[in-house]
Amino acid sequence: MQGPEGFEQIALPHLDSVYRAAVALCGRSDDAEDLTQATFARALERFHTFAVGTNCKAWLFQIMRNVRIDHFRHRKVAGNSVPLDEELLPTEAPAEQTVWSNAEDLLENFSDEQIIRALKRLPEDQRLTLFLVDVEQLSQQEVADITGVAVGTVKSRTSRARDELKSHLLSYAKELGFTGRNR
Amino acid sequence: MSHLTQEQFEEILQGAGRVPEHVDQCPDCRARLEEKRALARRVRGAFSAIQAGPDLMNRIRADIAAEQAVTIARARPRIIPLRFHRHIWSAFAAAAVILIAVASVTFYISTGSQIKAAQTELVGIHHANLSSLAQPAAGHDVNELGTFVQNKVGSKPAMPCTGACGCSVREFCGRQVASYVVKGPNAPVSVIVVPQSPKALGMTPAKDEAAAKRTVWQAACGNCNMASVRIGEYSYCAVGQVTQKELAGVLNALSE
Repeated sequence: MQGPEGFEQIALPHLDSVYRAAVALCGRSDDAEDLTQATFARALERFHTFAVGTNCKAWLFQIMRNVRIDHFRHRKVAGNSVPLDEELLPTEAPAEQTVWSNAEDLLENFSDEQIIRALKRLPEDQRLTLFLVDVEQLSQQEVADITGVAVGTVKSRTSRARDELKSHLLSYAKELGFTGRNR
Repeated sequence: MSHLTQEQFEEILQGAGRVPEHVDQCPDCRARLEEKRALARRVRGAFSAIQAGPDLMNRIRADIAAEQAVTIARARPRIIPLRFHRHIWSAFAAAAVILIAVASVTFYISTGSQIKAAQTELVGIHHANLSSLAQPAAGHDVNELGTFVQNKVGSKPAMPCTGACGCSVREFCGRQVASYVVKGPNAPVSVIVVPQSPKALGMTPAKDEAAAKRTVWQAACGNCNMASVRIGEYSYCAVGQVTQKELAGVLNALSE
């Protein structure tokens, strides 16, 4: 069961989840597909280390995170320029503490693409954590194992991610002309 | 009355913690909790329609098939040449090597595991073809495809009049073979032209072949069906994630 055939049966059903995580990290682009393929390639290579019966999806997410880290390391070593996106810049603190009175309705005004774009503006660790908690609905312990941090860090990271995501969406909302009331 | 901490909010959202009574009495904490719940739902909803495309699936399946082929190749018994004294036995050694090579080609797919290996290689070629379908080695014109293959492997294979959309030269059982892709009604089908007989490839004759021009042989490997007909000195093996009937249809459309 540990050969390529076992891999196809056990790991491949998680392709959509892994691809969604790649979209959360890279946005909708060829990069997301490449990251997914690289993740499965490495998982296949190391499938003999996977304990059958344990959480294969979490194992794949962990591999994806390592592939991503190696990718950034390689680019750094190779001297390639790393784009100065949000993950390398200090994040701005939320400008104001507001609570949306009609959060559900307000959020429905955003397209899926706008939500994903706003998510992509978060630092990488926050982005992955929020994705794993909210989209994949993994437990904080599972997320802690995947990201290699303590459960407390997962909680604080998730909370910060929500605040920042809200802050970015608030900016969009202002541009679009619909904002919640200030408290 | 102190408000909920961020940590408490996260525990409630995880369903790990009981919602404190404070939330019922504090409109501020209640609103914040609802807002966080709404945000979590919206983020989840934004990803709900995202799925990996068939191209990505094919790329990964091709990787798996390639790994399968490597695994099986590693498991094959290796032929270890005997060591003779170079000056006395060199001529005899050369003859022996040729004899072993000829014998190994004949014997190559005679056992179950080797049949499995050969079938896996055919499936691997099909997945590799699908991966490169967007960049066919030649155009879509049948004559152009045939000429391309002839230049590569020395003979022009039988091809369908229409529907061929790309061709390639792949390695099968240690030799270069021609293959091309035909657009099927449901999914692409690879036709791989190999010298081995369908029987040697572990295929069995189809039971219902009344409508077939030639004897169609069938097998299945992994997620693919495969069918084969013998034309001249070659077996034309159709491989794809389609029914045997569709594969037989592709083979029946081949014109010599």
